[in-house]
Amino acid sequence: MTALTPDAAMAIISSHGADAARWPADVAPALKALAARDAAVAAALAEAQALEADLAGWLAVTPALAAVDVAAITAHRQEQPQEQPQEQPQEQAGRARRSASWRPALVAASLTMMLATAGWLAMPGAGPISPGDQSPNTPARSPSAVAEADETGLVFAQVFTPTAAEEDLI
Amino acid sequence: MRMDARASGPGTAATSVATALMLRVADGDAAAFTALVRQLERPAQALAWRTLMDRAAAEDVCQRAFLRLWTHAARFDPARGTAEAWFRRILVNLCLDRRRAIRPVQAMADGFDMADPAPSPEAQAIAADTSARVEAAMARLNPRQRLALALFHGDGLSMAEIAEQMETTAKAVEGLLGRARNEMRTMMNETMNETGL
Repeated sequence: MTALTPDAAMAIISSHGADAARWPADVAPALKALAARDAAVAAALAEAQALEADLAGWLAVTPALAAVDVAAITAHRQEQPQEQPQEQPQEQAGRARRSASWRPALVAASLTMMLATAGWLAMPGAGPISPGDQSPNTPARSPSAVAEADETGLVFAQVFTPTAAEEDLI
Repeated sequence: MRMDARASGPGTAATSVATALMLRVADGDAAAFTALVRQLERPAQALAWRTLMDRAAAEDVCQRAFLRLWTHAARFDPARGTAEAWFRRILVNLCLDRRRAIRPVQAMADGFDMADPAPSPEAQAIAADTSARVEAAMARLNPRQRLALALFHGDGLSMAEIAEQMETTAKAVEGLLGRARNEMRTMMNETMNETGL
């Protein structure tokens, strides 16, 4: 029989309760013997029995709850075990090849777009800037810079503005 | 909830009626599902109520647990345990997930209002008062402690079975139960002293 201290016995009663049938089998005989001769253990056992009697009354009563709505549940689709089949290796390889072919093209296109945008922004006078848009802190542009910008705008207009004949065609 | 707890081991799964029904449910058999619900419903409601102590929450959790049982039926593996144990685990998880959304059920002082106010014999009054004190003390426990008490005392599960359901160790369950019982005893003694009973 395993030796048991009163503290250890009370810890077992505290966690396992007063029912000897539910105590660990290796310590149950020792605990019973200790409860018979140790007043503190006996008191702990009596207290646990009282608590369990109170608990049993509470556990016996369950309010009537609404029945489970079976129809609402079976209206749902069941998850199928093979809902997401494993991809075959050749499919994976094909997907990887396709991905490998368009990704560099996408990167190159993005870079080209960025460079073109940066270049256009770097051009003096690029973008529609009205006099009101300039903050007081913006340094005034030199007359030559203004002239250069005007010239660039003129070239742009010449290239992209349709002639009268072209307007008719449009 | 006494859902065939003793037969929850892997080797005994095939003998469970619920497990046989569950295998049919996995094939989409709605009639088997209805039969399974009728078998597991009451103990499930009892466990949900004891853990959550809130009628609406308990009903909702039961509905969700059975919905999950239906939709995820294909995942059930009889080699790993009975349908009862599998379903109880779903229910326990939902109860524990739900617990954060629920406020403490009832303050200790309010617990006494639950006793039947009608005049009754002394024994009935004492019983009603005891029941109210237990209810109030349970309401103040941590839901995990309530769940452990309900599984141990209500369903008769062993420490190992509770540990499996709560995804913890048997040692941790022992500690949980020990603290739960100590707190309950303290709270009940306090109210007994306050009311002079």
